[in-house]
Amino acid sequence: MPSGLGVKAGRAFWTFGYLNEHHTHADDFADRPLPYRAFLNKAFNDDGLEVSYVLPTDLYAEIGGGLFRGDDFPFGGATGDGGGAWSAFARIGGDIGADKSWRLGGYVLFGKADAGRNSNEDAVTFIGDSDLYAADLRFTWAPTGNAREREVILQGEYFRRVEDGSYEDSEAVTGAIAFDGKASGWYAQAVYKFLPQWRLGTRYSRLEAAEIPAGLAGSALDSQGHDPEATAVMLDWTNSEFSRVRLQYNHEELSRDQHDDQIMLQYIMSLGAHGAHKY
Amino acid sequence: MKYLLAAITFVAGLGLLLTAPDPASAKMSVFACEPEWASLAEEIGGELVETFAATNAGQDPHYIRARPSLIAKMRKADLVVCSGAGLEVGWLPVLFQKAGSIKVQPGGPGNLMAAELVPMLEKPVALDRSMGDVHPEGNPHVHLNPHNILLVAKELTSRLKTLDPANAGSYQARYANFAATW
Repeated sequence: MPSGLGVKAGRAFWTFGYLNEHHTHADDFADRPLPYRAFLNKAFNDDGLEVSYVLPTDLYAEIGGGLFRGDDFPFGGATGDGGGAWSAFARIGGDIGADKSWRLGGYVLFGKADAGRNSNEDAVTFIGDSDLYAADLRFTWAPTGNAREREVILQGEYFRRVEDGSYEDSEAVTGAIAFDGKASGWYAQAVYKFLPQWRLGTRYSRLEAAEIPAGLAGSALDSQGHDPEATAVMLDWTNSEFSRVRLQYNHEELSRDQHDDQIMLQYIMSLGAHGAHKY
Repeated sequence: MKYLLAAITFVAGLGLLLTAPDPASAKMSVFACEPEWASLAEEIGGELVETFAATNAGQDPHYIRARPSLIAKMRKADLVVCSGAGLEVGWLPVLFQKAGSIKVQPGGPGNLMAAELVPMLEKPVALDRSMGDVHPEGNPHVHLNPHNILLVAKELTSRLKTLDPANAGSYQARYANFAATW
């Protein structure tokens, strides 16, 4: 295998944005931000093949792409043979001095849901082409580059989904309505490790719903001009590499009349040896 | 639109690939995990090597992230010099997997772990999780013993001579000078 070339095949969390590649137990919050919930159903976990290549440049640069069955959200109904979805990405990153580092990435994930993609507890079905664009930026700082005692991590991602096909809301009995529109969403988070075992984090996420055709008015897809948003604040205590306890408060306004306040207590425990996590 | 985007990404990638410097004509690139090994490589290699220290003295090598700059430096490394014995186990394997060429992988000529060359102290007789973070191969902070530095310098010279035979004479001469003054 030539150096810098990587191949991954099977069923995996593919390279898309920042969070998709990571298992949820490694997240800084107990739940995924709104764009991940809406556009990827928390993570894109299809069957497929991904090739990546790290360029021999002084500045970290990596490019890659993948070919997938197209069976996992945001696609659906793959018949088994052939690729129903494909992706491409490019990342660059570097250090600023000895104490700061950053990484910027651009991603695309295109595919189709020919036999239908279900959401909203199977009430909503989409058939057509779904194209997802994303960008992520991550920045870390630690005094003299030593993250043992104190560290600040800033992270944000932006998603844009362009869909062309038809939506049907069986509960609102809309019938299949032609849809050709764009939706977008983003989140930004900051995590501050203020003691070796303690971290405080805050995150804001927001979705901008697509303009819907008249036929879908009043259905689950009609946001009635409201942009869903959520704010989370968390405090976690890391006993060791094997256990962490997190307390998180969420304030979510997902639809016009729905304001939720949630308090979550999460315990993350690992058993046995575990490989190091990626950046 | 989407095919245009894919085409642009492909062409940009190809462009970067083709304009990247030819590694064969550049100096020997040494990736050192700790600044002590980078310093040693500079002593033995002088002008013939380009060293990079993955950590600095202000950092705890147990707690490093495999950040983008380390991936890029590993990508171009001809020789990797580290302490070993689990000191860098939190971040080095990810770098080997992501960007390490075949010769710097463990067991290859471009992979030098100091812990394999020196007598190890405090090897635990019995080991389990309740003891916390204990290094199973022994105390990996081998750079603290000056006698070990000479042992590593000898092997480092031999590796440099293997990887860059054209300059073998220079490396040997610099090692002889180092051994006499250390």
